[in-house]
Amino acid sequence: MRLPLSLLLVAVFSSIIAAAFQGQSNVVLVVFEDQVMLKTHSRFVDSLKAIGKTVEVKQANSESFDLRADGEYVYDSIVLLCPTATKMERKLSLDSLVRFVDAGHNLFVAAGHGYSDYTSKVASSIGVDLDYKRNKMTDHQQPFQSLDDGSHTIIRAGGLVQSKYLFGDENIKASDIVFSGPGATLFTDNELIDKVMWGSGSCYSTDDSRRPLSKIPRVAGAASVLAAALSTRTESRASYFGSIDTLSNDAFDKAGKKHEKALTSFLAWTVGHAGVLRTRNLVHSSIDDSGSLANEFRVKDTIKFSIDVQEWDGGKGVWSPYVADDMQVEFVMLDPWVRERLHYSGNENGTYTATIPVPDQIGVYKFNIQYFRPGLSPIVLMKVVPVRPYLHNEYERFIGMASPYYASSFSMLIGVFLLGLVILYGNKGEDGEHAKAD
Amino acid sequence: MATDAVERKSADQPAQTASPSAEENSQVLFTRPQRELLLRTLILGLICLVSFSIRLFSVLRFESIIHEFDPWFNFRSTRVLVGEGSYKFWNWFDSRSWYPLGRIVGGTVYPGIMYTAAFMYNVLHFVGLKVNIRDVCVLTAPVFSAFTALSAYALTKEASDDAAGIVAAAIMAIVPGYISRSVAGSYDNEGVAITAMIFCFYLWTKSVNTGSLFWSGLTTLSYLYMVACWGGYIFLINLIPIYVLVMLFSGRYSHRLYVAYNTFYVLGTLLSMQIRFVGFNAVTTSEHLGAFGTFGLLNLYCVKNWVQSFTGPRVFKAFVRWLVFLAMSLTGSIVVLAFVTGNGGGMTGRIRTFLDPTYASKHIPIIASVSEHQPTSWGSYFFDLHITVYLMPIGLYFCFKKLTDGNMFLITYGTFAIYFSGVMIRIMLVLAPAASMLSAIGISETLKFAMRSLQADDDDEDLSMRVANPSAEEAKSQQSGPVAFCLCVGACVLLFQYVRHAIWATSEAYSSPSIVLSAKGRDGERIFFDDYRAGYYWLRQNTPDDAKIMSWWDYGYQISGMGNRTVIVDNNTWNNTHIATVGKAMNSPEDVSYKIARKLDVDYVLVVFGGVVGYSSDDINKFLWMVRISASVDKSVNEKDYMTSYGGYTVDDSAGKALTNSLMYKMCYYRFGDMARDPRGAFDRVRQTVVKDASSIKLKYFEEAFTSENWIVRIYRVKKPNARGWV
Repeated sequence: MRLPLSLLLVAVFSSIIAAAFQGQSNVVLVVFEDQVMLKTHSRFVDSLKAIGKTVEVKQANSESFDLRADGEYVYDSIVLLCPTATKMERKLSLDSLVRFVDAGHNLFVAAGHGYSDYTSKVASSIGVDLDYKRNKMTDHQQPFQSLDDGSHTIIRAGGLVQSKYLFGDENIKASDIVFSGPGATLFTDNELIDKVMWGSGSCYSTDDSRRPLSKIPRVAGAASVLAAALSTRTESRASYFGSIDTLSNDAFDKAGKKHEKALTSFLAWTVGHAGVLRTRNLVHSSIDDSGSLANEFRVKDTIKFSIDVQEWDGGKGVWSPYVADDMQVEFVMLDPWVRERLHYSGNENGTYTATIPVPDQIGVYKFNIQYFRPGLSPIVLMKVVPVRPYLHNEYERFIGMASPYYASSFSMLIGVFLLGLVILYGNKGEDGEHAKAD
Repeated sequence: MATDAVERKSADQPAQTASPSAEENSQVLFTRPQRELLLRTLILGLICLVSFSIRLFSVLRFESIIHEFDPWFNFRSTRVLVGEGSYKFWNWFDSRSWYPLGRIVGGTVYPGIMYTAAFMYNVLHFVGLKVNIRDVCVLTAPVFSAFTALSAYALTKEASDDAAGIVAAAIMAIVPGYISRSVAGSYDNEGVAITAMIFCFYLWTKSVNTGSLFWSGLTTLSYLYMVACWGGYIFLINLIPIYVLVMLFSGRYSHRLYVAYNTFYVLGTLLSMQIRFVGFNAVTTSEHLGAFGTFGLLNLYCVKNWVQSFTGPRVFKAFVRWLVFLAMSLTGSIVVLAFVTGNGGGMTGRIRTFLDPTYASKHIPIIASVSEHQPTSWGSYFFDLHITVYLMPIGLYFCFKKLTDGNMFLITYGTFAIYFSGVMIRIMLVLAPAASMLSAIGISETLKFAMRSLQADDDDEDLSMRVANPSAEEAKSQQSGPVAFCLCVGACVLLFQYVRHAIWATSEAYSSPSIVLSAKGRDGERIFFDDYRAGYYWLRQNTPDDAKIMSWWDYGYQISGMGNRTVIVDNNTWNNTHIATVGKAMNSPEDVSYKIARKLDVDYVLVVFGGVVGYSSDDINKFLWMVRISASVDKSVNEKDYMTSYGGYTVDDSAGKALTNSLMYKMCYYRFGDMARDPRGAFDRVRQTVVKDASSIKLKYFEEAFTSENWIVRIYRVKKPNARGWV
């Protein structure tokens, strides 16, 4: 018995150390509506445990939440699986939830049929505008047959972002994913939220799928958002999925492995298991022998720019090099003056390099990387460096082309000297005469 | 008894030309020339002392502090020069101003004053006096004002006589127009440059009078110093050629003039090209063209004289005809060529403004916006020059009466300075010495005349000894004793009033550092408003080292000097577009401003608001210039939108819609409603109106970071973009 206990202790400690090393806790708070859901959605939640997260389960109706202890956040992420729970606002105010996300923590929110005002507010705080709560996405042409009760409100998704980070596999097809719930749109004044899953061309939202449409549906076709993801500027993530029903064990069984894999991967992505990038070791130096300091360049220098880009490997728990061929760095002063591709050097640090020719224009420039890819944490990086003119002693001393100029100035010097000699000592006799004449 | 009289009088006219008879008095300790020298030295010493100490009001009343705006830049550069050496200063690329454009300070500065202060600092340290560089900078201008008084003495002496010279030094020492730019702490180019200019004029007159290469050489050296100090050297390089032309056309051409001018022009131009900021401008721009043209003309004239000396009148006539034809066709073709290649019209806006006073207000709002570039009102002539305004014509009269090469120069100088001072209030500084010297000649000659007739009344036999050859006028004046007496008394009263006025003007108007404000309290005590420094120190202590501060350009030098932070624009208004961008950020609605601020990486915005204490030169009063300057670049900005429907500029409820929506308005009046004492709203003490909607102002993209005690400086933080992507 001793050995397993000590092993457990070691495991606990090491996980604590690892968590401390990453600067945040490893605990995910999952909020269910009631005791029943704990059972019906167990597989979805258990997928978090499989990726090494500690899961703390609470019920929306009974318990109160404390996000902070001793002034620090207890949780790393919050998963809200309680779309219809009322009274949530009193236990976990929207304001504190938003601050939790802004402080760099993750949020997953699921909506469902008859969602509460709270859910709608949480969704809109991350830029998702939910359809009316009585409405459901309906698709008469391709409903999901094995669960359909004839109302055609259990539908297949029409499209999704092909990303192994978001959905675990690039080959997952949209039609593998089953959805039942309200549609949504995105607020246009949020510039970071992305739709990652949307409806097919034939789906629309209605409150009664058996009656013909009498007015234009609020959400329809490919514009209807089924799932959305947001990578915040504080390196946290927030995501939305509109169908709590198809996250259940039952739905997983019926809809198939691919459905389950895509959605559990989406959850794993939300809690930061995949697609997390970080940058290290921004180094820039002048290749030319300009004697520049490392943080100042001269016009027409050539800069060697390098940066390490690493990706969090959730499976192994290590940072590994991120490999891509579409990253670029800009050299900006008001406008980009140079835009260069970053080339992966192939080493284990994930070092990317670029050679930047400094333009012939003085000013205060900045290296600028803006790398936004779906499913990856964005890389936004700025580093200010001044570009100075040539020092007065950095110009060429003697220019061959100017030799006529040199010759003329020296001949002038000699000429004046000779003329002086001639005037002073040349013809004394006349000089005297001249003086007399004066 | 006779010696008593002489001594009494010598205080008024100390260097009265001596009559040889007085020298025989063996009872006195010194001979007469010795006594005169002693007295003259003493008087000049006292004048220096007065001119130094009258400028110390600001130090005594406030503290040893650098004043105003431009001096802060000069001070900052001097610290770089002293701290990092001449090479570093020469190559200095300032990445902390004009973000993100940067500024090559070493190449865009007149380094004279910095080198002067650094030189004094090093000398003092070498001697063992460990003074602070700030104190050296603060006292540079007063020290140089003493030199100016001496130069004025020398120039007037050269142009007129010794007596006038001493009066000139005395008047020059306290002339308010010059004090305005040379009080302690006013560490500005002009403080040193006026000295250089007057000294250069002195050497120039001397070299014209002597025709010596030595003096001309010295003139070019002092011209070099002048060029190194101030952009106003343009005045000098145009005045001297004009003087030469005047001499030429009035038939006073001489070989002395020829030697002096040719040496001056050739050497002076070569030397002035050594100043980086001037460089090839000295030969390529149209401002220097006049000097070049005069150079050519003078030599042509000389050639003409030479040819005339050995040809007959008929051949000579033909020669002159050909010469004129050749010269004119050459000039004409050069002008055509210049216009075709587009190199000709390179006159800067300020110079154009001199030739056409309405040019700037029509075309260049950035020049028109500067208060010292405004046309001068007649009141400021009297305020800055006082009695010299009236005495100047008298001086001119006496100069014309006894025309010499030397006072011809003073006449030219005075005339041109009067014209230019009418165009820009700033040129009052150049007029002040001319006015001082001319009125000194006027006073001196009048008094001399009056004294002579008084003496004649007093002591007839003494006069007959004294004045060997009384002219007709003086003979006539012998009968007008009471008039002469009145003249003397009147002159004394006038001079006394002048001294009083000069001291009062210095103390009240010109000794405020303008970064520390003061006001008289109800029972006469002084109240100080130190808001500016509080604001700048707040920036220095509380913001990251690389924070970028956006403010209207007036405060740029002070923010970088006192706050040590990067600024977007500053008082070196070299890039109109950049200033217009900042103006646009200030006069636009918040969301537009925010985009501009983000584009420029701005972290903080600083505004100056005087509505609480009634400080009138604040940003709301400067606001229309922000509109005009940005309108000169961005045509979508329309000044009319910021006005009331009647075309007025107010901040009450009839204010223009664009004004109340602008960032500047919001930042100035944000939370101003809290200050309300009466129910209608808070009262703006500058605009004398109630600002009704002040309490409803909300800021979305900016948040208040600091407001100084009297609300003069308000600093706002530019909010970071929303973490969740909301715009």
